[in-house]
Amino acid sequence: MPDPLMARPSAPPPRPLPVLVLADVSGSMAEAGKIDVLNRSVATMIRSFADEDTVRGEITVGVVTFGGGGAALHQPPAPAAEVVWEDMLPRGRTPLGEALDLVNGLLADENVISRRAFTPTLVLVSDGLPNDDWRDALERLLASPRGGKAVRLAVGVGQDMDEEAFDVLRAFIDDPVIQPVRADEAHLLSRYFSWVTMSVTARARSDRPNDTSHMSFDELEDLLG
Amino acid sequence: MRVVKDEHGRPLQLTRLLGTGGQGEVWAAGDRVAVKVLRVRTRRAAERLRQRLRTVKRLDLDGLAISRPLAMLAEPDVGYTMELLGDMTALRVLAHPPPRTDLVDWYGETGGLRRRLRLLARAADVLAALHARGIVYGDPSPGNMMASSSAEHSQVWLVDADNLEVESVVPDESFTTPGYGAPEVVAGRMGISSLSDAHAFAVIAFELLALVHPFLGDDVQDGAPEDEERAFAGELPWIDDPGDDRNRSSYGLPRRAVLTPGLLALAERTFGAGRSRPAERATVAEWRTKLQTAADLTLTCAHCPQTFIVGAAACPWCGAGTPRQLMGLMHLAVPGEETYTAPRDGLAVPPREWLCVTARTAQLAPDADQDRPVAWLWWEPGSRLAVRNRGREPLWLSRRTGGSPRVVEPGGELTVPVYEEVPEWSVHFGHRSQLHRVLRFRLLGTGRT
Repeated sequence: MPDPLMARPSAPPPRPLPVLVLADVSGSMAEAGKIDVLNRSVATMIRSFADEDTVRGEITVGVVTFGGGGAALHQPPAPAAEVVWEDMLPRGRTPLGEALDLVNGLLADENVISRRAFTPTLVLVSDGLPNDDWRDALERLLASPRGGKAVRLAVGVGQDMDEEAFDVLRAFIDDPVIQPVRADEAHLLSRYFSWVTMSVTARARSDRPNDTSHMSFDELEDLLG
Repeated sequence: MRVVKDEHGRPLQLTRLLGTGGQGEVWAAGDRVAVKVLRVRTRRAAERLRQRLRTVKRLDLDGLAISRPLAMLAEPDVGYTMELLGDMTALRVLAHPPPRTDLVDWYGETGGLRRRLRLLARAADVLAALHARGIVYGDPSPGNMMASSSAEHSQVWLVDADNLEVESVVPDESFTTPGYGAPEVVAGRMGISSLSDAHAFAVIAFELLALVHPFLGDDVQDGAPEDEERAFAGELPWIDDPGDDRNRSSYGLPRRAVLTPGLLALAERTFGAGRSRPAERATVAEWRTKLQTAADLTLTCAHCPQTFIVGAAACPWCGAGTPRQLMGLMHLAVPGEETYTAPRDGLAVPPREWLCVTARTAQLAPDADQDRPVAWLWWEPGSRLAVRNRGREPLWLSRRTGGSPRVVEPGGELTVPVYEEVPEWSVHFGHRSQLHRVLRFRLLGTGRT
């Protein structure tokens, strides 16, 4: 019998450092291997996060898809080490607005994203124009305390991304310092996710995970260049 | 694998991440060299670093376990290379258990209480030696104190020397790691000093031993990350404040199991009154002494691999009852006087295990190497006591009941019978005609000596 003093001692749990991926799974993502690269990239990112031995933050990952069946919580936010990844299947249209509302709901729910959490990172991946009312949903997200503060990143994948589609990504990022990234070829998507992995990991390792001012975009240019 | 170049064009392969701080990352580049890579890559940051390294080069660091900076990194990187002792890991791995691990098992696997006390005593020793030369480390954190990776060794080495400075009380651009910066430095009221080093060291010691930050109570832990800043600035009482329970913590190991009363008193001074009045804090030299004493008072449990502070009725880790514990008490023998002075130091004497007595406890005058073994003791309960002299002077064994003392020459060994529970022999570290230390034995819980 251990000393009653020693009854179930526990260390303070690390604070979550949430990453939420908003993944376009419309029918067009099936073309040119885009969805396959996206599945592989996200799975690789989750594995890297799971291997990370961080000090103050524990990286959690969630994935919201938007496609034929509307927006869905494909992977509920969970510590990376606990995620068993299942591939996303593409079909149907591009209901971005629904996805934004779903993400907004997740961010607002303290049972999903604890108040202990560090500033979340949102990564939007899309291959074309949305076809629902995304503007109002985006406004709601940006006006919310957590959605507004979140680090928002976006990448446009494939040949169908025109300026209008990139404008949607710019509106989502809503920060002139951060530009949406162009991944004309599907394989560039995996490089993009390596960069996301690297920059989130650097934050989790640092003593100030909420300080996002040092994000390095030069390295991103090197990777995609 | 990432490769950077130093200012002489030498390529350095970054093989292993040693630690990260707010300023950047420290990597091992092979076995002998470490590289600090700053996150900010501006020309201004590079110039400031160059100036700092020039200052550090002028400081007298001879004989101290501190990595000396070697060279700046070549552009576009900002950083520098420094000496490294092979195979070391940052102390932070001993302070932060991986999520969802069994705390007690993990504590033992990472060396347990005794190794933590020894490592901390060494770290305090390096800082105390710096302070004695009027130099301030500036940013002690568990990320820049390196320890031997093997759980059997307790070498400590400080890296990240670019923050070293001569003592100053003027607030400047000094950099501290969140959670370790002293309240007056975080608030910008004062610059770094030996007292701010003492605060940071106390936090490291408390975290390593008790696995909880002294300022982070449950409400702070459960709140938003920003709430921590208030706590780090010293605006809340510390978690074990005897008179104020506004910031209690349910986390960490029971303090009485991992801190001696002496260490608890240092923590209370540092995190209580010392939070707002830096001069009240325990100095790193005080920490060194109490940590060494505490390490000497640990015993290995007979039923589990853990170590605990002598005097406990049961092993605090596994609950097994502890056999009768023998203490060695170090007194001062004054020539011509019958009785000895009250004991100054204590040693837990394990049964059937060689115990090292070092110059620190056995000698009166400080030795150049305080950890130099002077004698080894072996106690077999109810059977014998063996003494090996590994010092430079003869030792004498005297018997309480009388008889002439027996000498053990340097390099020699003597075994004497011990039929009773407590050895009635005393070990004299000096001749009876001189002032010297003398070790006597006492069984705990019986009052008999």
